Amino acid sequence: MSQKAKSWLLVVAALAGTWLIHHGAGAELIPPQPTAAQAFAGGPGLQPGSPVAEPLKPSAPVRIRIPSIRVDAPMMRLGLGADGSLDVPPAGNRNVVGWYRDGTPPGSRGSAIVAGHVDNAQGPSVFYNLGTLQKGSTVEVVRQDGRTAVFSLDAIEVYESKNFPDKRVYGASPYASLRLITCGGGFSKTTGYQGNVVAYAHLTEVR
Amino acid sequence: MRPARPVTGIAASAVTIAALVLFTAGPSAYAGDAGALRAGSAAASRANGAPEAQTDDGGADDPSGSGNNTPFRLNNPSGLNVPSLLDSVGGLDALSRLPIPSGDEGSAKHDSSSSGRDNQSGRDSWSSGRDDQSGRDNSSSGRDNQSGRDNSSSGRDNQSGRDNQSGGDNSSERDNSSSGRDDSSVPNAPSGHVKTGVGGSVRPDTTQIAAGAGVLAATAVGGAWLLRRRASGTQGAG
Repeated sequence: MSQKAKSWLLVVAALAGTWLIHHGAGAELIPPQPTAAQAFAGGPGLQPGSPVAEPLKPSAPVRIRIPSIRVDAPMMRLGLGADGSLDVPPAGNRNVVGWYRDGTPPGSRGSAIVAGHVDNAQGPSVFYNLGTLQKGSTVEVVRQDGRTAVFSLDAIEVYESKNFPDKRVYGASPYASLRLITCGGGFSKTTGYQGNVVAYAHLTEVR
Repeated sequence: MRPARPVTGIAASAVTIAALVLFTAGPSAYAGDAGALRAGSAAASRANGAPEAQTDDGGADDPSGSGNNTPFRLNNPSGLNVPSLLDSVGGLDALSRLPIPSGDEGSAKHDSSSSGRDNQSGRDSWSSGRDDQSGRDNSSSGRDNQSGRDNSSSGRDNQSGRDNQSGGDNSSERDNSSSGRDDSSVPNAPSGHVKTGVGGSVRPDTTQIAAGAGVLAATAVGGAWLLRRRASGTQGAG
């Protein structure tokens, strides 16, 4: 190879290296987001072929486990904020999940609302990997009555904050249903996360 | 032939330096334009998404599935990049023109921290018997909660116990929710999105940066080697 060719090779390599650094610094790696394949295929419904367990009597949840994303966290009660939105657990605690105390407790008939942080100012939190869940993923909720409600994921979707589908997420359910909510969608340095990731599950088993 | 070599080397160096300057200085120079363009496309996609979402709210069972019409659905990964690119480039002016009320969203970060405190005080009023506030910040507090509750009353009776207790303060809300718990209507359901993140996990692509640094380092080594060889070659010939 001639000197000239070598020189040009170096120039190209320098350009490539500079571009990589520049692009890498500009790119933002956001938490994992669910793929379109994990959304409801034709409107909300149960995952075909999945068993449906008889709802339990109300009992407060004390712990949530999602083996596939290594979640094992205590649960706390959440109320509503002044604007009617669901409160969130304290951001300082990375490993705590909340449930809407005035709604359905997980395992009972209705839609139990559960929320956890995707991250806090320091880094990833308990629901960071929620977006990697897939249909059929298992969620276990240990309840105060000693029973463990086992849920199976029906779908996981992403919504823009501005057009959040209240009915779909918070609406009633004839089954013992579970909604897991965390932040997601795009991210903006000025306005934060642009939406929410919501996982839908129903009770399939009681232990 | 020999005179041509130094010329080529100098030209190559000049191009390299120019490229470096261009690449590092480029973003700040063009951020405004790029941001505006990207924000424009984001605004358009949001505007398109709005009516669909409204119909979705009205009839929850629209067969197309609401998942398909959200701009952040990941069947178009490029769509997902729009907001992050937009902000990484820093098109703030463009952002303020978006339909999203920036004030509201801007306060989201504050809300998430302050609502945590609200929530804390809320817990105070509800769970008078649970003195685990201080312990909540470590995961073991969950166990404490559990044992605390077990002591307070047996299992699910606690649930009804709480409802009674709430008769004092916000009885109407609680009673509605408990009576409506199994019905099709959910009177006290939350509304709107949930502020469950501030972006502390969002980070630059360190893998790419490291790869770029590696390539640059290799280039430097290669360049030095080339120059040395050229220098020695010149001496040998001269």
